Amino acid sequence: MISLIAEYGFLQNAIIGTLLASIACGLLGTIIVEKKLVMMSGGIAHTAFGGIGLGYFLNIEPIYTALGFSVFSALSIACIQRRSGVINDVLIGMFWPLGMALGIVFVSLTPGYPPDMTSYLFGDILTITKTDLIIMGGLDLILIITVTGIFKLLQAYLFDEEFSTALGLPVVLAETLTYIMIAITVIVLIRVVGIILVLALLCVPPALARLFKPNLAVIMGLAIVLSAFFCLAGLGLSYEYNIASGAAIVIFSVFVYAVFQLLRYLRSLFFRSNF
Amino acid sequence: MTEEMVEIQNVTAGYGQTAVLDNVNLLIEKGSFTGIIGPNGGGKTTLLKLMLGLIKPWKGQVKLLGYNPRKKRHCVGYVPQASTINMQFPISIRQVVLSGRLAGMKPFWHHYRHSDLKIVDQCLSRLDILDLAERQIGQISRGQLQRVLIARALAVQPAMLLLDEPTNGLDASASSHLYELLQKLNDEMTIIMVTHDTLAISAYVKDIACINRSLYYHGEPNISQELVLELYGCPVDLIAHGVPHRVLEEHGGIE
Repeated sequence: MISLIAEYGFLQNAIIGTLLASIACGLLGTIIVEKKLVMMSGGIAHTAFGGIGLGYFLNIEPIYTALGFSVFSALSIACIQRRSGVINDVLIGMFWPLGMALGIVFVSLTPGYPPDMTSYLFGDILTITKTDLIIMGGLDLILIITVTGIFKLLQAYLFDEEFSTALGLPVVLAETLTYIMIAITVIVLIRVVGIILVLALLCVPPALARLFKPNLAVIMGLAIVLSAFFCLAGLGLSYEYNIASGAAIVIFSVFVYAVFQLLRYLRSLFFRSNF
Repeated sequence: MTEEMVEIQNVTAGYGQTAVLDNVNLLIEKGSFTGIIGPNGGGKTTLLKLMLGLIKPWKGQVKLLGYNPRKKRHCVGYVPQASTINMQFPISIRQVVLSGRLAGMKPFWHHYRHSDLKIVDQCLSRLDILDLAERQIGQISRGQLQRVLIARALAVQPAMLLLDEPTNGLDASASSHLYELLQKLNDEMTIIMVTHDTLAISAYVKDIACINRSLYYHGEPNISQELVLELYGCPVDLIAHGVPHRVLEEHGGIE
């Protein structure tokens, strides 16, 4: 395997790509899980599809339009929610398919052969290019700086929004930055697992990490390590058995989570006092 | 000279198109310990939210320490209902209380000062929870959580404490402990407390305000049966059984 990695540039790219994706995943996955924004993130991810369609239509690199599109929709969602008080769930149920529908319309309006969208929907880590890596690295840097920069504010916002507001903290800033970061994370992950499979990679590592009951920063670190492990293992499985990489990563990570929870359950049966 | 902590003038407020409060006037003076009582949906929590500037009145004016609540709310220690707290969140008790020191923070690269840590330690020991400081929020009892939330509010070093149903879910002994603690704190700061605990409230607070859409009564805690009938629509058990509290003045006539 090592010699293969040394030999093939695309494998090196794939490995660097998974590591870059893991950083975004661990940082934002933790925020999303703790603030119960998982479905919201799924919705934002799917609006990115509209951006990809727009990219093809305007003949621009789709990843840029996807980024713009998902940041824009994330901000609109945050704004609508704050102003109108529409139920979160209903809002997600609307913009999730709206993003997909727009994508399909844009693609069908694009002249010539319809492009192959599956790599954006399910990810294709083996086709990651140097340019992709540079974009992912740049976006990661933005995420790292923002999360570490506003960490105390973020923690207060995530734990008790009402108290933070009553204290006069810039809660709206925290919320806005969180939504923008979710949109950025989706774009970082699109190449690795794709729009449809993003959710699993955002949920599973922090969900596993928080079982050890550490603090927020440790969960983030642990989630980064875990998602790197899932991605690399998934990549290995995909290479070994010749299956789609995104699917391999998702199936493997959910499988590990299920096994872990089962072991916990069995342990609790035998050692009732352990809680 | 008395000083007004909260001044509510002709306030009408609500959510959507439903008015919850109608033309309410209320003055809270410095040093008072006011219990706000009233039925569910009567607007007690709305009143608290108005004082904190979390919602805006439709009509009328709310002043906190003489200013718009948004300008002065960092001078208030807010203790929300314990049921709103996310007990699954990965945070230690010390970190929770430390967040009370964030008032006026800069959003980026904020660091706690040494004095912040000291204040937090004082607040923790004042509420007898210093030994819980490193525990996770999910590993403490309801009574302890209530203390943590009060410690966080005290860490703000507030001029006034606002509590939303602090004894919900506490047993009788924990409740009276809490009330005694609040009575002590009242020597240093103004306290406003929303509660359902009509039994105990009159024994501890200095004033009560009865709210049901509008303000029915504000003054000394000698609630008459007539007032309660008007407020709740049915007689509420006001007499603490076997507890030697000053609860009610004598009243005859109701058979």
